[in-house]
Parts: sequence; C-alpha cells; structure tokens
Amino acid sequence: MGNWLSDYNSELYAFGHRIGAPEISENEYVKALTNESFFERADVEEQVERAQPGAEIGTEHNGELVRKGEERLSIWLKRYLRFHLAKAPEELIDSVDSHLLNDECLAGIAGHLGIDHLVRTKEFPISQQSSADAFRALAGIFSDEKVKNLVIDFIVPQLVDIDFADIYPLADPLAVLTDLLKAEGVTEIEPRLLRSAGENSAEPIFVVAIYADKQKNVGQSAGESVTIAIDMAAREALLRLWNITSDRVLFFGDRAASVPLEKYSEPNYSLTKKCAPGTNTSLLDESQPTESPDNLIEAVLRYRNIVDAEVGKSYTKRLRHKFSRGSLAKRSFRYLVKPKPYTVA
Amino acid sequence: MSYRRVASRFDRVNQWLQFSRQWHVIDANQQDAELLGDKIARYLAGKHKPIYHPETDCGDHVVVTNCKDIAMHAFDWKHTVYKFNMEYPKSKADIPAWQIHEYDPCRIAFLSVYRSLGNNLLRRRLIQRLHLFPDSEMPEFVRQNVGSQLRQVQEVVKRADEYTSEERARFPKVVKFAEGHVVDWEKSIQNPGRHSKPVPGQKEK
Repeated sequence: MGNWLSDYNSELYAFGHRIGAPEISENEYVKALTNESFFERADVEEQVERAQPGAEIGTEHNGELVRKGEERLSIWLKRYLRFHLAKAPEELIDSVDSHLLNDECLAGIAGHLGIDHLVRTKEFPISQQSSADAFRALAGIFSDEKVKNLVIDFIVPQLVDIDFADIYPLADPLAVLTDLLKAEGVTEIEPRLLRSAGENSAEPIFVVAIYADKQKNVGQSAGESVTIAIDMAAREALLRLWNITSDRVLFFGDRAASVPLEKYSEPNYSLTKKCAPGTNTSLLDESQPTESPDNLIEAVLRYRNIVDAEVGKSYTKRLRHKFSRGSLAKRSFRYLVKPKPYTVA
Repeated sequence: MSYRRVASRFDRVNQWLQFSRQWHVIDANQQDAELLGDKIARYLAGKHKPIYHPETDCGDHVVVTNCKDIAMHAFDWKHTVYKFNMEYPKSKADIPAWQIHEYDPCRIAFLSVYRSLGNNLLRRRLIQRLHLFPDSEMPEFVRQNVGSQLRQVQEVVKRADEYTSEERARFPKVVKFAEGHVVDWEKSIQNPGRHSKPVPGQKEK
C-alpha cells in the first residue's frame, strides 16, 4: 500500500513470526493473502513487473482457503465455548460464534495484526470482507494445532466485549425459563415485585425477582415498568441457569491452550427440542425500532386533572414574588412588598 | 479494540436503577423543625448516596406527613423569628414562627428545609421534590409512589392524656397527693380570648 512496503518478502517473514507460525512457507502465505479481485487489477492484467504490495503475481487466490479456514475457526471456537458454557444451549453458542466470526470483528483483528497492509487486492482502501477473508484464509493454511492457538490468542479475547444478554435475545424469556425449570423439577415459577418507587411519577422503578417454588430467587432485575422488569429478571435467571454470571472466569492464553478442547466437539442440547412444543423460542427482531409507550399529552392532562386539582401548585409556583420576581415586571410591586405570614417563603 | 454496540439491556436497566428517584416518607409528628429540616435536605440533595456529586441530579423525593404537629423547643414558637426583607421601602418584617404556623401548618417545615438546603441556586429545584401534607392523609397518587420510610429524628413520646386510667393506677407512687391536687395536665385549656372591658351601660350577653 505504501512505498515503505517495498520488501514484501521480509514483511511476510516478520508476519509469520508475529502470528506464531514461522514454519509455513512464503508461497502459502502469499496464496492466503491474495484476494480473488487482485487479478482483475489493471496493472496486474498488464503483467507489470512489481505489482504492489509485492511477490510474484502467480495465479492462485484464497477463495478455497477462506471456506476451509472459516469452518476450522468455527470448530475450535465452538469447542472453546462449549467447554465454558456447558449448560448453555447450542443456539447461544452458535450466535456467539457467528458474532465473533463476522466480517466486522475479524476485520478489526486483522487490522491490528497488520494484515491489511499485506493483502493483495484490487480495492483500495481494503474492504472489511477482504480483510476478514484474509484472516480466515490464514486458518486455512495452518495446521489444526495452530488454528487452535489462533482462535485462543486472537478471537477468544473478544469475548470480554460480548454481552450474553444481547447476543441471544429471546422474544419470550419467561416462557423459556418456565420450561427449563420445570424440566429440572420445579413446580411453580412466579415473578414477584420486590421493591417499587415513583409509580405515578416520571421516573418509576420496579425491582422484580423470579421465584422458584416460592422459595428460591432465581433471577432479579429492575425496570421502568413491571413488564420490562419481569422480562429482564427472566433473562437474568436464564443466564444464571446457564452459568453465565459476571464473576465467571474465562480461560485465556496458556490456560486455555492447556485445556483438552477436542473433547467438546459434541453440540450442547437444543433449546427448541428441550422446550415444550408451544413455547416461543424465536429471537427479538431488533431491526424494527419499538415505539415509546410514553404519551406526553396524556401525562399533562393527568397532571392537570388529577394531581393539580388535589394538591394544587407547589410553593415555588404559588409564591411567585419570592421565586421569580422577574416575571412580574409589568405590575406594581407595592401590594406585595410588605411580607405577611401569608406571603413569606 | 471493542466491537460492542450501544448500551446493553442490562446496562440500561441498571443505569435506570442507579439514578432512579426513591420516594421517602417521614412523619413530622413531634419532630424538631431544625433537625427534621437538616435530615430532609440531605435526602432531597441525594447526599446520602455514594454517587453524590453537586452536579449529579441524584436527589430523592421526600413526603412529609403531619406537618401541623412539627415541634419546636420550649418557647421557640415565640422566639424563633423569621426575618424577611424584600429590599423595598417598608418591606422588612420579622414574623414569629407561631404566626406563620397558624396561617399555614406546612410552611415551617418548608422554611426549615429550604434553609437547610443551603444558599445556592440548586435549592429551588430540589425543594420541588418536597411534598408536605398537614395531617396523616395524603392523596392516593402520592401514596403509590412511596417506596421507603425514613427514621424520625426524635423519639415520639406519649402525651400525658394518652395514658389510660389502668396505666395510671399501675404507675408506682412515692408520694400521696392531697384531695383535689392537680397532678397532671390532662387536656388543653380553651383559650378564653382577649379580656374586653365592658363599656358602661353595655348589656351582658
């Protein structure tokens, strides 16, 4: 991309060491880093001597490697997730996997590894997809053990940014929770209101907990309405049920590499199969913005007809001469100058 | 490197929970006006919260009931003088507390809280979260809001006329009083009103 990158071979050599696989030959790296569109470039078609960023023009591109690498990355990432989230359903693991391996996430990792500067492609600046594809193609040329290291070193750390409540947003979490708990032998599940304040004010707050068999608090959350609070409490209970809590320690680096992840190839249970047939296990549609339930006109009318009629104006409004003398500019102050017990504040 | 999008569901409700306003209720019956004012001002400004900062809008609502029974020490109803000066000619007035209390039973609580909030511009907004009621009743829409009760600043004592005759009989006696001795104040004496000098020739009513 830049003139500074005149020695492509030494850059590749450094890159091989940086990513932890110096044993792989330079040709294979070049193949993995060559995008299909590279050969459509005007200067490449004219067989120019030194097509930027470098190396022999050749004929091979990474199309096949991308597909292969994508599969292998996914296999190792899912194994890692199953090891940590043994109680979570396979659907959750799938959605985490597809989020971490999407173009945006991988392109970010690739950019930080300096892959953007090494990819041979037609487009400039390089698109997220080509950048991510180059990263996937690397997994295609690596040995299985190296792919595992690639996943643990570069992809798994992105887990700290993932919010497990948002990555798999169930449309009806309470129904799913009820089904899962009943499968564990719980007979009665009820949401209870623990605390509330400001029910009639502009900022109401409700704290709701889900109780199993009227004894055990399985999940608790707050919300601005009882419906939202119950919904969030059910989500929290599900995460607790799946052992996804904030004090959960995820293994990184050597600690993760020493785990025998090969044992976790079998998929976890499927939520749709475990729940009752009628239960809604679909996800929320996030693309449609939800309309705010607040009705301003209704609130103003309620205040005017109910609140104002019963308690009247506050002191700060009633005692205008004290709190906003300025608004009386057009009128004489004489009649309210002398403080009386009924005017002071 | 972060690919996190907007605040998550739990972040949103937790922030709502952190900055939510609590509605406290406190009974002003037999409570010293100054002490009560200090306590309420603390809660109105949110100074009882660990997240307090003068520029953080974290104050709570306080509902005060029984404002008519707010107390002052000894003869303070007479000697506590509220001074007002509008800085216009003839606009100075010193009004004793009892006169203000007689006109509006909630005004003493308001004045003492307003003073305890300190002399700053914030107090005009903070005082709007104070809800005063003269007796123990409050509207239903206020009662529904209440989520917490504050401890009173003083212990409520039992008035002498609230003891039953059995309780009086059970009380150990050291001295034997003479017949007709007024032991205790039992009920308040009606104000006989101002003495007026009869005009010569005026008929008795």
